Amino acid sequence: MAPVTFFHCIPRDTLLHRMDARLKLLCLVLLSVAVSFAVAPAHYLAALCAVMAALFTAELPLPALLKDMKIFGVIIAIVLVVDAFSIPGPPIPNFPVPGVSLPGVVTGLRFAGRLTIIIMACAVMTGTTSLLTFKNVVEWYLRPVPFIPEARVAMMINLTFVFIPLIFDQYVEMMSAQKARCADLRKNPIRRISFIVLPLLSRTLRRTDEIVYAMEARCYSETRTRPRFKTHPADWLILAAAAAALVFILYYPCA
Amino acid sequence: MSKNPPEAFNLRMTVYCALFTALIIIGSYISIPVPIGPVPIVLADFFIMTAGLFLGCKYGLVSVALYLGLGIIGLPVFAGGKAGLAAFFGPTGGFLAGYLLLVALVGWIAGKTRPAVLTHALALMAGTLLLYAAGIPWLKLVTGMAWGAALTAGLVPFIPGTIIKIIAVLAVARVLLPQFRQRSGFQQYPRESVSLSHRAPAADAAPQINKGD
Repeated sequence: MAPVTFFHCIPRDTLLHRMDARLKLLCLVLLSVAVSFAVAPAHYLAALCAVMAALFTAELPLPALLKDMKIFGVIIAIVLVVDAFSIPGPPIPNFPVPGVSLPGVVTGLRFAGRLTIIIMACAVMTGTTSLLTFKNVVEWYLRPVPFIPEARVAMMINLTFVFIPLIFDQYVEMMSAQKARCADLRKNPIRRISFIVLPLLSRTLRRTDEIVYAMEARCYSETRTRPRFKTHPADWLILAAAAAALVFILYYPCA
Repeated sequence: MSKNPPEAFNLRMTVYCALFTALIIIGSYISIPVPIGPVPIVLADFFIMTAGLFLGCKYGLVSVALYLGLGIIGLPVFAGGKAGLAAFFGPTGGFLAGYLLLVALVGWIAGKTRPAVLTHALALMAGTLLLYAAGIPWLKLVTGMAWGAALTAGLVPFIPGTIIKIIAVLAVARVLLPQFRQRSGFQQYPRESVSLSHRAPAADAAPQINKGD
């Protein structure tokens, strides 16, 4: 099994674990909006500081998280290289590799910073909130929205978060098994897609059936007692900090 | 799907929707290099096409809408880790909206016709055309490119990948779709508890298809 700590809740007793999950989700949304507007290095530094502070407050296992971020590291590296070569612009003076453009590198670095910060923020969110709480929060936020069956949508979002690590685990396992049999030496892309997707789909469909049976066996229904949320003064302070980060990024002059 | 009344809450299909949303999200992180082009294949739209064929129009739409919704609230689920409403109003926003059209058309055609490779291929091709019909004008509008440049940026690099993906979707649907239909949708409960048995599904599904076609 691929041991993934990412997107799993790690129970602790910290400020962030005790925080009202409604405000926690709001903080996450604020932060991701803020990061999508970030341009200058100072913006990224501010957002990174906020996320690092959250990471340390939540006492999440940092080395394990960084190890799991390797897969995102690969994506970031690919995008960096593609951007550096494909976006036209003046080349960097005295840079040994020809064809690398300055705007390309800047765009790539911005993307890398954005993705890293959002992923770390998501890791803090999922690491400090149990899936049930998360589902209840989503349900709470969807309740005033008309035409949306909030319990069903919340359940589906929740299940999606259950499935993602499950599929990732199976993907990693399957790829190792195929590598051991030299399947990755095949060059035909149709065969490669089929070799990845067929076992992945048939395995996950089987797992899904098991989940459906488990839910039916436990009499899953959408009418349940509504959960209660409790907000502490400290939670509002954290929300204020996240809002401050957003305001800073929106109004600090872009260098 | 035809045997269930549409208003009934179908737990199985709802869970499958969530599964396909998760697959689409994972698919935007799995990339396979293509030897003939510079753009790698991202499996997100592959899984969207699969969702159309497997789930049908209604549940396919739900699944893709959930994916887009998760992106809108700020999770990095779009291709390359993009997120938020900014992605919708960016150059690729038309393709994101086009995903809805793609899954709806594929699901609709596949639901109307008998399951066969030819109709599936037609459905997928029509859906893909609709996807690009939504994506490229938007790309042109946002970036202010000329038509030629928009086509070069938004269509030409993706042609080999899209053809490969359609063929792969057809191959996957041939093997897995009969079994999937048998388990869900057309019948409330499976005749045998397929899910708990540990037989290889590909192996026992294959002979059925050869007979059917």
